[in-house]
Amino acid sequence: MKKENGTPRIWLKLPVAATPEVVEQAARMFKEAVRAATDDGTDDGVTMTVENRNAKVALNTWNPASVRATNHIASLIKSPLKEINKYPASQKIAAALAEYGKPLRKLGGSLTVPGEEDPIFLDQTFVATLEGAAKKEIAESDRLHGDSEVYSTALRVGRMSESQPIKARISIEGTPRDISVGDMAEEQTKLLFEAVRTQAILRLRIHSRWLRSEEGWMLDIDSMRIVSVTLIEPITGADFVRDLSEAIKPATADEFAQILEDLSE
Amino acid sequence: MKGQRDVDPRRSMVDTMILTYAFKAPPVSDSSDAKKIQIMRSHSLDLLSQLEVIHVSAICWMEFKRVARFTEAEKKVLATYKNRVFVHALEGPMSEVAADLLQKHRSKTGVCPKCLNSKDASPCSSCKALKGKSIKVMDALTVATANAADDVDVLYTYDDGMIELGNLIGLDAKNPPDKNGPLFEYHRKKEEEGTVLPLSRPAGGADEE
Repeated sequence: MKKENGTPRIWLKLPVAATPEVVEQAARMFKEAVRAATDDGTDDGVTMTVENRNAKVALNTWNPASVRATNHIASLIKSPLKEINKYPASQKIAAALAEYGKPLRKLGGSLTVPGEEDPIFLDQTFVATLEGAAKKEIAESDRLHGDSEVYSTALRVGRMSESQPIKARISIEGTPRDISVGDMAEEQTKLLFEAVRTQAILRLRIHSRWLRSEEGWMLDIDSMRIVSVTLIEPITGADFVRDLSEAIKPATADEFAQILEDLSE
Repeated sequence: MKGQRDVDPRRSMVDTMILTYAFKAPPVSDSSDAKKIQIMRSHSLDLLSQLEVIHVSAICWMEFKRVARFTEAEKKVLATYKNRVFVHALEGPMSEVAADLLQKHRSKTGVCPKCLNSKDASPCSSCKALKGKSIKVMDALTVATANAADDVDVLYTYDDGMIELGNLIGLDAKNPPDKNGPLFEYHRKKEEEGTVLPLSRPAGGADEE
């Protein structure tokens, strides 16, 4: 595929051979940074190329969403605090780069981003700066907390190990996500496990946080906690019409005129 | 024209007016608007009957329960459907979108500097009084909810204000399909726009408004 002109490309250059371990670590860092930078938390639209001698890893972008994501990553690498002040949602990118860049910090590598001629060293200072930026308190006006409701089946429920919280894999905006289960009554947790078997539709109340970003309010997927579960038994429109037409008495002409007036208020 | 009549049975949301016309409109009436009400009632029932699942915003569900003057017995029946209908909750970001929509609409239409009437004001088809298109907070919240719901593609409504807000945000908001067919729907719209002459009707006939 021919590369489009002007698509941002971030280079990571390391003065060591591109062993599978090094490549895996670099790929993980880029992958998590891209996931943190996209609205839907996916890493579609990016590819990585690796040159072997003196590991040279490039992040290439192939669609507008990945270009936007890579631009945010580049801006954050150049000026972390400036980028976070502008778009608080970029804090997640800082956290991802700090966490997954840590294993690479002693290799003497550097990052090259568009618009910046000098390479930026991926060293302890870089990691510590991004860790600090990731923990910076976000202003009240740049974050929203609230509950939302999602209708989904439960695809999987469980925990990776005893020390970790229970997570449920549910579909949010068409993408399967592993969401932590918050403090719920035992009955509700049982219902969640049962729903995996029955594939019943659930109404899940989820406590979440949204952060202001360039594209508007961005859901912080890591902040999501399932706080209640309700079993839904959908009714068809035909049954709904039949049942309610029997149970609800139509208004008189005068009453209906009043109803319409109330509606127009 | 086929697409105009097709209803997606799983990805359609209905608003308060559709529910109200379907269940509260009088089946027969002597009022001057009787025919129009009957048509809207019939189309609303027809639309609902085609749906495999019912999507409604929490705002509309609340509005339906508020305006429809249900008896206590009816309220109890309705309560049994709260876990059978997909009631889409309002979230913080949706209210931000709704606020932007209201702002966009206001700056788009503008106000006459002399009479301070909305520039989109038009005469009522019945009493001829000049009226601005009513854009309400509830409408904006409903449009924002429908737009955010990933399992909804279309919002059905009889509210022109909501259709206009939908256009601003790229949401497919429209009237329920006309059972009489797209040709009549198209022709009536053109008549209302004044771009074609109305069909002649017998004076004093039942069809005369």
